[in-house]
Amino acid sequence: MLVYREKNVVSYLRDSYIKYPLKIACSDENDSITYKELWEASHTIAGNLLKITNKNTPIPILMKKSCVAMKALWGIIKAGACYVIIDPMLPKERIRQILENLSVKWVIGEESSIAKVPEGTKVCSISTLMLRSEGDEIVDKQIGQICDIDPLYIMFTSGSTGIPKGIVANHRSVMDFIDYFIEIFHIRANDIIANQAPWDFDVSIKDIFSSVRVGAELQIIPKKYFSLPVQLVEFLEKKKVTTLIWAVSALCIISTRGILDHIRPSGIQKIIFSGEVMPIRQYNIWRKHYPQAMIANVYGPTEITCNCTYFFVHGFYDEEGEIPIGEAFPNERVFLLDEDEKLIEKEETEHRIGEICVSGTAVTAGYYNNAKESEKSFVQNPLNKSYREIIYKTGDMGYYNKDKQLCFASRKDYQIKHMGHRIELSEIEKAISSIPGTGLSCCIYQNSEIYAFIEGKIEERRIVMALKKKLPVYMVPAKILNVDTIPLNKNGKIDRKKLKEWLVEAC
Amino acid sequence: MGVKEIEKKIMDIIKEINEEIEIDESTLLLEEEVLDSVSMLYLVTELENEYKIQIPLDAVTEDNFKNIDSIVKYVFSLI
Repeated sequence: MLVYREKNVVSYLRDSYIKYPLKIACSDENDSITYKELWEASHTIAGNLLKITNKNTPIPILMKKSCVAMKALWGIIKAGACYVIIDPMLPKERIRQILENLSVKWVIGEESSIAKVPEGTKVCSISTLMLRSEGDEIVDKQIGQICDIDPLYIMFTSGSTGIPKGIVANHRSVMDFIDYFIEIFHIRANDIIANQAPWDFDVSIKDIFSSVRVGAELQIIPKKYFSLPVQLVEFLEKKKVTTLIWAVSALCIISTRGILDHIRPSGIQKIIFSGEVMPIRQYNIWRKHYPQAMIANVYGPTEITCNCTYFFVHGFYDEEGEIPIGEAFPNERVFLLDEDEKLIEKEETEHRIGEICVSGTAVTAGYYNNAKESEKSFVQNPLNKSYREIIYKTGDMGYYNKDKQLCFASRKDYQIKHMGHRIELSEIEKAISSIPGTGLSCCIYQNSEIYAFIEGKIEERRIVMALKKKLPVYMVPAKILNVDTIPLNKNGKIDRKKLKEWLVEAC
Repeated sequence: MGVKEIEKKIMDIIKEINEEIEIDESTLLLEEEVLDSVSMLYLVTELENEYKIQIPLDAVTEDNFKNIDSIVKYVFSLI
């Protein structure tokens, strides 16, 4: 009998549909769907999409996360296209930038979505796509033609040049990562995974594809519960959630309020966190309430498909200590390069800091329609002079601690993590410079807030209002400080050190 | 301390958080994402400071914070 490797992620859904047709695949506030319903609905949607789309085309879903959006997602995949989740709450201008980068003329959405898209862009209503038509065989044929290098999704992230960058992940990198992820973290059919991450973040890839891979149940947490911490915890208890694959900031919403002292969701067995450095005090609180749980730190930028390293966290940590980012996932290599692009060895005793680089199948296919940016960070491995090996240079700096564990040090540049979001400060600066009347600007991140120093005399209000039209809300500075001149250092570059001093004085 | 005054104060706080938003007393603050986790915290703190009340965590619910009307009712009950 011919044994072959599965080429694409549709096999994940097919296997779970065959094994567990009546099991709940996905639930949202209003709805629940079984694997059978998900399989059949996505087949219908794919059949309809095949009348209007070509292979490998990006198809945006302009919808909130829901069971219906999940059907659309799988419908797009089965049609041999790649999905792009666009949050309907983004400012119109940002949506326009994303659609322009994708060169697409239509999106999947609901009737209300038409208000959010630029003139000329059509909305293909999801209800129309769900109308049954004769297309199953054509869909089956199309699925058979999806190769592992074909694009699966595009995730947009902050771009330092002012334009968001769309990271293209193919089936291969997702299957490589997810297959190891579920094994290492023992994700099984009887797990109930509570999805916190927005679906335009790659943390959601772990929720969506792990659950389908093993036949587990995905519970979509209504976004409003993150403003209602007690209701959030009650939800986790009520739905008997076993697994949290969450951003550090989301876990902290619960632990900082002391809620676990009053309500402790009894089903939680696995907590996998990422996105920012976990404050040790918060980790200790979770550990106190869940002494037996498997808790892990995972690290990696979207460009390498979710995460490239993992670290199991045991016991309690000293608040002065740090939690390592750990070991590379089995089929990838994670290493440190110094400024001369030479390898920093684990055995070195100096704790030298180098740039974290990643090599392997899980490294994504770069940025959509943006060869220039791709070439900057997806490069030939400088350690390999013999054959083509593309690595991703993360821009994160790391070092090996005294136990030879890999740890995160800092960013190389002006990218920050704020409220769980990755932000290039220069993207904010570019948006400011497009506002008439502003001179040079510089954004500083201090005390978990974004401050913007701007040359010029425009009213803070006007700048904030203009920025809200262009940028996602989490990128809008907390405070605008007008200055006569932005200080420059002796190299003619903006003196950020001086600006930070001014900030400390001002506060 | 009347209901109308509390209503205005809450409206002011929300405008502080989000200037351009057009809302009234019945706008669904959470459903329509007028308030998020950070702004909710800010609102609760401001209300506690303004009216010298304590809003316990388990009172931060969908029912009490559904719209401005419901917040007013809740705050009024504590004063």
